[in-house]
Order: sequence, then C-alpha cells, then structure tokens
Amino acid sequence: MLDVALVSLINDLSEKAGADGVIQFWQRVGENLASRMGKEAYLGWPSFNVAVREGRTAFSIEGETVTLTDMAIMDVDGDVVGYLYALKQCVFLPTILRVRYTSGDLPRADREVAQEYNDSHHDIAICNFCVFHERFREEVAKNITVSSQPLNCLLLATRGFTGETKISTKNLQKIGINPEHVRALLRNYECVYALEMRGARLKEGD
Amino acid sequence: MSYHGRVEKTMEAESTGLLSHLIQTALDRVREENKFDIVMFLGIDGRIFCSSIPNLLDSAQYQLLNMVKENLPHICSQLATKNLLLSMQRYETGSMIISGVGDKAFLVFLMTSELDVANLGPIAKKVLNTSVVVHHLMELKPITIEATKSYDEEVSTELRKLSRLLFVEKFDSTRQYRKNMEVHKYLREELGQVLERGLLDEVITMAYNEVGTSAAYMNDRQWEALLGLILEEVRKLCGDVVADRCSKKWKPEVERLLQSFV
Repeated sequence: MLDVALVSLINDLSEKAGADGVIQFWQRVGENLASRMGKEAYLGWPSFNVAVREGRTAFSIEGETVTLTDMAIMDVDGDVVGYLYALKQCVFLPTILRVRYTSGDLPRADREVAQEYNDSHHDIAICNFCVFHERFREEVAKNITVSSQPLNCLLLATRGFTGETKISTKNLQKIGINPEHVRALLRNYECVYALEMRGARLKEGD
Repeated sequence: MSYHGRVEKTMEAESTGLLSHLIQTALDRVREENKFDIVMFLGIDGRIFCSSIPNLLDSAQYQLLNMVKENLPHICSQLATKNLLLSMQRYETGSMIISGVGDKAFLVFLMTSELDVANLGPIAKKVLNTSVVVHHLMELKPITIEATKSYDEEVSTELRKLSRLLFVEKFDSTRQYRKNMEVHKYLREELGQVLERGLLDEVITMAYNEVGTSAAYMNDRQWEALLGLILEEVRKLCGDVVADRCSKKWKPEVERLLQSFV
C-alpha cells in the first residue's frame, strides 16, 4: 500500500517543485538508499558473479539479476573488466501494476518527470522510477570492489510495460558494444546495465 | 607478477633486456617529441650505453656526432672531476646539450636545427626531465606512485607512459604470457578433438568469461577453474565417459605445462 500511496504523491511533488525538483528528490532517495547498503569486496569477477546469482550483493534488492557472461567487457589489453547484467522484469513493475489495479493509470507527472530527465540528464528513462534506479545503481557500484577496484555502473537499455524501449548510445559507446546487440537483449529483459571496473582503459588513450 | 585485474596494465623492467628497451624508448621519445637529431646515453668512461640515431645521417648531423666523439675525453673529464650538470653549446652546424645523469653517466642531445637562444627554458626543462627519467630507470627504481611522487608531474607522467609502452610492446615476450599461450593452445587442440568448431569457440570463450579474464593473463588457480568449467561442458555435451577420459588426460598435462615451463 505504501508504494501506491507514494506514487499518488508524485503529482503533488511535481506541482510544488516542478519535474526537476522530483528528479532531484528521486536522485537523493537513490543516493540515501545506496549509502545504507554498505560496502562490499570481491576477490574477482567469478566470486562477484556467483554473489549476483545467489542474490548476495547490494544489487539483489532489485530482484533476480541475470549475469550475461557471454557479453564480457574487455579493456584494450584483452582482459575482462566488466559484464552486462539484466533484469527480466523491471523492479517497479509490481508497484506499477498495483497502481493500475487500485487507482488507474500512473499519475500524469510520471511522464513529465521521465521526459524532463531524458531531455536534461540521460535519455534512458521509461518512467519516473528510472531516475531513482539509475542513481541508486551508480552509487551502489561505487561501494563494491572487484579485485580491489571499485565498480562503475552504466545503464544501457530499458523497456517499459507498454513495449517502449530506450537505448543509451552514449553509454554503449563507452564500452564499445553495438546498440543492435542490446536491442536483441530487450526481447528477453526489461533493464540492461553494465558493471565495469572504474578507470578501466577501454580505448587506447583513455 | 599477475596482470589480471589491474586496471592500468604497466610493466617494470625486470631484466636487462627490458631495461635496455625501456631506456631506448625513453631516448626515442625525447628525440621525436623535441626534434633532436641524435640523443645518446653514455657513461663517464666514454662507453655508449644507448643511443637514438636516425638510420641516415646528413653532413651536419655527421659533423656534430664527430665533434662529440672528439670532445668525449674532455666532456667525461668535466663530468667526473668538475661535476658538470648541464652544458649547452651552439656551433655553426648545430647545437649540443649535455646533461648529467647521476654521477656516472650523462646524456648528449644534438640538434642541427636552430636553437632559440632567447627561449631556452622549455628545452632545458625537457632535457633535465629526461635526465631524471633516465636516472630513475638506471637505478632500477619501481615505477609506482610512491616512488615517483617526489618528481615533477611531467617526469612521473613520462615514467608512467614508458612503463605502459613497455607493457604494450613487451608483454608478449614475458614468461607468463608464453606459458599461458602454450596451455591455451594445448587445451584448444585437445578440445577440438572432442567438440566441433562452433561449439569449441563457444565453450572456450564462455569458460574464459566465467573465469573473468583472457588466456594471456591467466594464473595457475584460474587455469584450474577454467579446466573445471570446460570439463563440465564436455560432460553435458559428450557424456561422462568422454569427460572422464579428457579429465584423466588434460589435468596432468596442464599441471605439467604450468610447472615445467621455462
């Protein structure tokens, strides 16, 4: 019930603080939640990936995460510095469905906030919750180390319950993955992101 | 040394061959970046340790080189007895800059293009920085943030770049790399007898990705894990009998390759 109640607040928030105010609010919520998750350290990618599969990492709050080990991210020297991860189902889908069943459509402000975020920050949001989710993951990644290197999270693609998709060409360029490869992943998954070692040399001259 | 998991892959000069290559790279870089014609690294007894000289010398360059050879006893004596630190000389044919590297060695920079005497600051700084770089390398000090923090930013950046260049150019000649490639080749050949080509590529690639690195950077523990993953796949695809036979053959051989490689 609490999540449905919170969603009904978005219109009020948007009217009082504007879409940009809601974005800042969600980003602060994301940062605060991530900071409460604490720090984690893993010996290497195998132990991190096992922890992801077993739901032991801070990312596990999102539900079941699929590690796409066939989509490894290589640095310029051919060493693995990250992987793609995906969620079969958006973590907010249950909330969205509950809102639809109990009070009808999502508030009008949901679209406005997502649009404002896409225009002014990063063109990846399908709904206003993506704003919170992207910042949450970025902050969680900073608190996790693999082989003593902190991680960096890049949100790559999202698919909403209406079938609308968003692909971040900006982030895909950083890791050198073709947008078409990620488009194919969206048939099976609703949210695709990359975790890579912070500071990894992905292109010569980085 | 394990390179796996290191975000910045750099290499230290762990042998005389690598040290020589590193100093050679340092001289080549300073010659190309500053339009020097010849750069030489010599001992105060007159021995040339390393030099960066173009394949073809024009008459002016040849004349300058001869001048250095003629003056060598004098230069060495100045360095050995008078503690010469830096000397810049301008002749009709070009310029000669001498800079000490510690107590026992020095660098000679020859330039046939005109030296801007009114604006010597930048070139003098570059020469002095190169002396610090070569001195650091010659003393076999590690190229780490701690070891280079007392230097000028340009010097520590140049040392880091050299260390990166050494990795890029020489990693494939290290013992670790050659051993890993030998094991990789063996496993690929053996697996090729059990699986068809398409499956072979898929199984090998997925196994490396699961281990979290590629063949070049593997360590012994990772080879063990990789072998386990490959055998698991063989068991799924070809059955227990084939997997057990492969396990009996591959495990001792991989262990032997890892231990006996010279």
